[in-house]
Amino acid sequence: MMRRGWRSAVSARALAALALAAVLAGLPPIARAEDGKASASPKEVSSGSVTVRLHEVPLLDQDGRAVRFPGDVIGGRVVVIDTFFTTCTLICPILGAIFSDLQGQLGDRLDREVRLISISVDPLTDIPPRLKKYAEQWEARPGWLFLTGGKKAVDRVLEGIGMYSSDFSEHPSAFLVGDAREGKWTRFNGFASPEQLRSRVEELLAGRRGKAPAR
Amino acid sequence: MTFRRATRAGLALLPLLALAFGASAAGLTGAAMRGKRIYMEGKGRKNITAFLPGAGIRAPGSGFPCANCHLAGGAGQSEGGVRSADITWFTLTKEYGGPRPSGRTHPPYTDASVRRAITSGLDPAGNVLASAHPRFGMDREDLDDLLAYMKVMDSEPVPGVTDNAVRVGILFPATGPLAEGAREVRALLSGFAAEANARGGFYNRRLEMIGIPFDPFAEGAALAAARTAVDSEDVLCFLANIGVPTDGEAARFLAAERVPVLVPLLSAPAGGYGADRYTFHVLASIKDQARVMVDFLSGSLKEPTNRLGILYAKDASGEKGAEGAREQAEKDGLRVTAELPFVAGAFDAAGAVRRLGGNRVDAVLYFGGPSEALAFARGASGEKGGVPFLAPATMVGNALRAAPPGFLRRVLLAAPLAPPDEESAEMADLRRIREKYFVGDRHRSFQLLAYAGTILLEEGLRRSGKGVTREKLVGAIGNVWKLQTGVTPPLTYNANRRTGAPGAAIVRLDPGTGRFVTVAEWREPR
Repeated sequence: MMRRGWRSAVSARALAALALAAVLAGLPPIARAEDGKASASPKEVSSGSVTVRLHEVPLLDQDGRAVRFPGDVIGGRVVVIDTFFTTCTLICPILGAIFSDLQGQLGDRLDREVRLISISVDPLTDIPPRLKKYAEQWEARPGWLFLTGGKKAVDRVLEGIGMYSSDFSEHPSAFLVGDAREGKWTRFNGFASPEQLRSRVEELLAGRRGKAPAR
Repeated sequence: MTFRRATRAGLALLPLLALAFGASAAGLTGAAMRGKRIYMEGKGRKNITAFLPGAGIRAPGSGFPCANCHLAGGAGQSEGGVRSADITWFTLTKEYGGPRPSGRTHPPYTDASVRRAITSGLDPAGNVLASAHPRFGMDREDLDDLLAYMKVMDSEPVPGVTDNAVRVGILFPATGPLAEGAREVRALLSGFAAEANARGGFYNRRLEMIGIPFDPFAEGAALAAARTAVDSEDVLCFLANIGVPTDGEAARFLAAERVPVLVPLLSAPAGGYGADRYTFHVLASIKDQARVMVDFLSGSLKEPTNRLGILYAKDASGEKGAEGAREQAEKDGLRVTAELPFVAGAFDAAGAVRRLGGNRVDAVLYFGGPSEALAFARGASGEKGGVPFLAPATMVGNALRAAPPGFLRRVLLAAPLAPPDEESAEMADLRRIREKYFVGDRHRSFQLLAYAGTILLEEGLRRSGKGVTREKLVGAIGNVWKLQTGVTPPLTYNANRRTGAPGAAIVRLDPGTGRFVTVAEWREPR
């Protein structure tokens, strides 16, 4: 579990506890969770099983290719989904760093079995060449898709997966990990660690093979 | 007790502020300059890392520079339900006993506790900072530099802005064919400034127009003039630069220095995403004009007589024009069957006529300079029939007036500046200023553009507010939607758009009267 040396000093649980602060959707903007030292009581990144609807719409990827959601985008794969916009400087870089790390952990399973899908919540600004540059910034490999499209189409996707907010700059920092074929979806609110996301991905993959997840 | 301490702190602050101002007025110290790079870009002398406690991952510091969240100046912001703190030195070191805006209670920060907050994520009372705040791994020397900058960043002077003036530069050729037009433009801008100042100026500041001449015949003179103005922090932005090529070294320097340039009096090669973010054009880029030209042709050229030939100079404008033509041809169902690039100054007119003349194509699209256009016209004038020859007016100018009459009948020009509405209030203002300040009346297109530039500048300054900075001005103008100038089509800018009115009319020159006649009304590309 402790993959890298620097993590040994800080327990994963304590790290996860910090993730909640001020980031959960619905919390007032001022960080309340950390009033004084007493509030360092451990809180997990909340996660739970959710129901999503994958509406059929046409979208565009970072290369400007027309893709169908969910058919072309998800297909039969296990996916991890987050939302972002390219001009976001506060939250999105953290989400990007998490996906970037996760992409490394997935190795050659990326694209073949698993896809990372980042959906822009600001499709009016985020035209494909903008997404392309953003993808390059994170050194995204094939299998990490950045999606935009008509605002109505994108909003419909976001509504279906529970990620829509009327003010796009207030988009939730949350991840969805799911298997569309089996209809199993888990939502992580806050900054889930790449390890948390990966272990859920592996559970889903193992579930498909009909055996217990490898620990 | 608390009151007395606060008062004493307040009094003690006065000389400090004076000191800070004195220091910054003379420019940042070496340490503060290095600190600014850390603050703005996350790059120090040594490697900087950002550990994200929420996600438990380590990333390069350049992905998480302070300015991303706390903004230039350090005032903080709110986004995605997260508020980033005001980290100006004044606020950090404030004596105050109650809870801070973060909700935490702690003594004022000191040098040591700011260092600890940056590296360990703890406030002076030992409270943990929000999980969105990275813990930075950085060298002690880099930390010292960063602190040196944080102490002065909110009093860092804005170039060209003082308590009672905001200064705007105009780069112009002192001699040569554009000098007279430049004189008219400067007279117009000074007249506008005088009128604006008579109305009270902008946030108690006078608007000052600073003419910055350069020798158009000397190599690198425009760049040297621009560099001097920028290095001496003399102007906030530039307006209506004349005779400064939009893809030349001076323009590239200003873009690299992130200096706003409003309405340069030349068309840009391209104006969409990827174009220089700090330069705001009014007129359609060459690429957009090419699109309008192709749209126009698609109305009359049908399969199989829908073959386009593109003749273009190997420079930024020529290549972007060709690119726009290619892209739009594909959209409109036209075929590009011949492409002929040439090097300006080494144009083989006879060869070009052999490739593109004699109905080998059904229209020629031209993106190059005036002399090559004229050479092609002379070479092709003996042809029978002859297909339409289209070019952006902003590239060929008036040169084709000298073309043989037989060729002139084939010439169609894209004209990005539509005739203004003479009845508009802004046109009346322009006429009034023109008379009152002896502006002259010979360079109307320049004047219309420059005047649109003043309206854009005024909008930008008003939206930026009293605390105007270069970034605020760029942000403000970058959000203008359908701004009525009365002298140009309405102007719209956004993150992916740096030309305000990206359309063109198609005109031809009437050989009898010598006047331009509109063939297709002004419109944006499809």
